[in-house]
Amino acid sequence: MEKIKTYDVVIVGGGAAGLTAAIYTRRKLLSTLIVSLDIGGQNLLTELVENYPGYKEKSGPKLMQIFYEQALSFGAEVVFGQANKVEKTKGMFKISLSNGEQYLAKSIILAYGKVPRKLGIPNEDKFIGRGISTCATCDAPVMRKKNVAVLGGGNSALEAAELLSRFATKVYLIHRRDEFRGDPITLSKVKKAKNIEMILNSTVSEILGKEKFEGIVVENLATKKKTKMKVDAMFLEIGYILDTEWVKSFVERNEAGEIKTSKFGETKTEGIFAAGDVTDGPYKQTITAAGEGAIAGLSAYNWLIKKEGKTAVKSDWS
Amino acid sequence: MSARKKVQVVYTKTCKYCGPTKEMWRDLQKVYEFEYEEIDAQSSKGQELVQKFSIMTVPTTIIDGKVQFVGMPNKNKAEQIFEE
Repeated sequence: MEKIKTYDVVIVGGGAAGLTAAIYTRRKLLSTLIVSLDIGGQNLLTELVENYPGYKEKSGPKLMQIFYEQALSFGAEVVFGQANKVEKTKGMFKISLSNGEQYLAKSIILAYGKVPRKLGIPNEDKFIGRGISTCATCDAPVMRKKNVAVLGGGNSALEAAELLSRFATKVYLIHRRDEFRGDPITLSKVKKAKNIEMILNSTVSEILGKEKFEGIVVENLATKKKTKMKVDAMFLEIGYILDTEWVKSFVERNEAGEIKTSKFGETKTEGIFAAGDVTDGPYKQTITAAGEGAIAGLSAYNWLIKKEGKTAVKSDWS
Repeated sequence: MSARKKVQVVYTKTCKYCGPTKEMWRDLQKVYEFEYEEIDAQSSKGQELVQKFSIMTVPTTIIDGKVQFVGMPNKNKAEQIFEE
């Protein structure tokens, strides 16, 4: 049987908060694993960051790449995947990923911000990466001569459809309302593309295919009529959500579902800390996320050394 | 001794997971001996591989002519390939 690897700290999330936490925990020589769906989090969607001190202006992804390189340079390890379960076991935490991988953690820092919204229909997870994509900018170039569907009505859906229209043979843009929320300039580009067909007042109610993604069933929300549609791929562009359900037994949450933390980034469970957009912190900025990540990292360190009977560091000046 | 494995990563320039994936294989090349190639999905060779292996997402890692990893591979699992 494969032995489960143990880390001093497992950080869930690879955005500003998680990467900063990793820099701090590694500088304290704690073995650190970052588990994340991506590197950069919400900053991947930010074209220009102008309020992060030290850089007059920097694109969100570029800024996050620097955070990432810094965390790696101190020795943080990274696995890409979605954490979906935490269990307490023999004084440690066992953290499971949707791909079946498991890790043991002496402490956990929850810093995963928001996650891409899914439809919540059968077979969705099974076909992610095998017909269903949440990253049009990544996968558009492999969609040549293919028929694809894009689901969503905001700017990201419009941009995805426009981008895909340059590669795919046909793009179906499916939106649950009768008009798009995206900005007019992007919408006009979509309307100009001859190979984009808009399907309004509709959603995807079923995914077709057993072993292989074969298409979708589109349901008209007004008439309830269902239509089978043979497409090679579907792109989900339906926004981001805060998902704290899977950790609810370990943390206290506010009405918005955000994790309540102390000023030390502590949650209601000893050894579990939280930082960044996933917490009830009042501001959702890169700088505040990084600050909260640093606090959570240092608090995890203090908690671990206290457990070993050593004196915790109260502040960097003491 | 078993034959050297051939690792091919199909990537796009716009993909956020492709950089870290390429970086991981380059790091592994410092430890293990294997043939390694990075292929832009938009190149003619990339398009051939996209068709041949029905690639729907990048990065996709092909090892000895078989798709082994879709998306960013887990480093431990990638290492296991050379320890078999």
